[in-house]
Amino acid sequence: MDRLIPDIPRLYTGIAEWLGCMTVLIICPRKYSNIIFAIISACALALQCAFLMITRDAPSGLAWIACMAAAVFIMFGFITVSSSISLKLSAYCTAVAFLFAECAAAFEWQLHTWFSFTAWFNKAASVILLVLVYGLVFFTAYRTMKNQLTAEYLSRLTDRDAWTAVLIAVITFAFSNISFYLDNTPFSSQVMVDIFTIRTLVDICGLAILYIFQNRLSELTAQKELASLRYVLNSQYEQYRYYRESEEMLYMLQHDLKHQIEGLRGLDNEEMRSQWIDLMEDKLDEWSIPHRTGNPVFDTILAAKLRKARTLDIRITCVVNGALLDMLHVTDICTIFGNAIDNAMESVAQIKEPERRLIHISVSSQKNFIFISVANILKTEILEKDGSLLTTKADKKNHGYGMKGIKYVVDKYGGNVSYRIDKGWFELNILIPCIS
Amino acid sequence: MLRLAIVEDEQSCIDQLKSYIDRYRREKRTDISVDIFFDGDEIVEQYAGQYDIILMDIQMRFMDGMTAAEEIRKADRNVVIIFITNMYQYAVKGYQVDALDYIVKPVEYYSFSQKLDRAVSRIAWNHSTSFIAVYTRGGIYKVDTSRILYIESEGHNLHFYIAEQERTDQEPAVQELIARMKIGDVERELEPYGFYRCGKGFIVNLEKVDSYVDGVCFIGNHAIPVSRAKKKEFMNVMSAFMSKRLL
Repeated sequence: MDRLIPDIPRLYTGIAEWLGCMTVLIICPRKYSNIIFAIISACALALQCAFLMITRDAPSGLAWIACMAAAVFIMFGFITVSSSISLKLSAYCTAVAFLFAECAAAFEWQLHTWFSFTAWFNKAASVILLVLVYGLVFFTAYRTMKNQLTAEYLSRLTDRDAWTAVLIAVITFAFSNISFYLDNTPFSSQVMVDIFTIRTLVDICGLAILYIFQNRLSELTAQKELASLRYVLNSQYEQYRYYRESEEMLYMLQHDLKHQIEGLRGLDNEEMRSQWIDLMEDKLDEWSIPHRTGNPVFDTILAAKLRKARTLDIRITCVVNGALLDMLHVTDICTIFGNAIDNAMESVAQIKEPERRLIHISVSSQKNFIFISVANILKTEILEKDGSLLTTKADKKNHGYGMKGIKYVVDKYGGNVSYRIDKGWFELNILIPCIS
Repeated sequence: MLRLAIVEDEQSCIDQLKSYIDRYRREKRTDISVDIFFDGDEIVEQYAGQYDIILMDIQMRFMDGMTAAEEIRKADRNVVIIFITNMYQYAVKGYQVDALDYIVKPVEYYSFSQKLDRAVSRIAWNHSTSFIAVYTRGGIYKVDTSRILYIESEGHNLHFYIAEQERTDQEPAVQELIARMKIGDVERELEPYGFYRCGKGFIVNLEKVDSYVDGVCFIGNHAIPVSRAKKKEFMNVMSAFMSKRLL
């Protein structure tokens, strides 16, 4: 191999790898405050560069590969220590950071080599070139990755996805640097300039593959999400229709019973008759629609939920100005209250003492806002992670969609969904501005 | 001291409520005085805003709880009214008299104490008054924070927009004070009293916000922009603020 043209200085590689990590870490949730993070990253930069400088004279071949692997391991360590993501995700992010670092270093050095043949190229120009090219590459990396590596995306990443990314990085690296450890393959070259070109192009391809892979993954998760959301939005409406039918049936039953009471009045035995009548009236009270809030959709949902609450020994109180809900679509009312009350009931049903199973629903107007609050007593504190509530249900994948359904619906009206925990109560608060 | 009234025509229910209040008094170490009325018209007749909390039965012989509550509201906007009922139908309409909670008979101590807790925190909020010193060229003004509508920064000055008197249905006259203060300092000082910095140069009193449309919140006929980055947080804060004031 012709060694007249030098390869990338190890310091440059170290800086590129460190910048790759920084790009990922700016996007991912971090463990420590900014000051501690700054200290850690300074140490990481020193370690990364020092390691690569010390090992710069390592012979090509296996030892060289081992050195590179160790450098990647330092990157992995840096990301793991300073971010709050799992090991699996750190591995994934390391792969991403490494690919960008490789690409930046290769691209920069290729330009450097090309310019170095011109007369005016000196040390200062080479530093400017370094800053410009790294700046450009990592800024692009930040912009594209920021949209892709969202908390949502990372939380849905499977082991397989993480391994795929690592594999992409390994293969890209293997092919881009093939000439450095194998002289005689169809993909190797003997000319340094060619080697640089191959390396840069293969690295860019690797990044392109990663980008497409990530895009495809987010599309898939988005599709899944949409399907589940649609299911949630539909199911509460379906339930409502069912409730309405059964409500109508009950109404008929009620009338029927009233007629029976009429008939019973004709009964001779005074005591027996009054007993019968009492019994029937009790039954009627139990089944009558207890709330008339002014919004028939809400009344129907509430009646059904109250019946369920009675079987679970849950106490629901509600102060609702139903007329305010008229501006919402039927299916939206179903989604909001169906899910909110279901979630609240599920939560309080876990409380041992029945007298503590309290739920309070309120819908009121506050100036030009509609304020909806569904509050329930908490058994234990609910943990929050990345701004989304953690579900205590066993079925982790499908739950939380109820809340997502609510958010989706409320967003349509330009409203806001928030949670608050106060004095042992969990509150789901919905604020919808209305234009008067 | 918390001044509480029970309006109830059933002696057994009165006794139970009194025993619950005794227990609550012991558990929370708070001082509560209790007056008893046996019908809605009794309390309405001599009502002059002397109570913090009224526990009101809905079904009574001469004047029902709803009507009594309406009458009381005319005289006192702040008193917390909690209905006691075995008829859900009526209590749901409590919003009409700003009675945002009720207790169902037979009354259980746990839910009773929970509802009283919330009422107490709402009263604490209603009663708290606070002042801020506003440094103007003409001198230092002591301003009741509940009268501040919003604050705008302009250059090195802050403009305080202050309602002249307690806001009623009509638009109040707005007074403007120009102060040489730092917006960050004022933000920190006012934050505990329900103020929010909704942009670089604006602090709003959440209580005075009338409406919100597409990144602009309105106080009376003043339009105040909410910065893009704070849109979501603004609504969250607004929501939490409303929930604190509700029962």
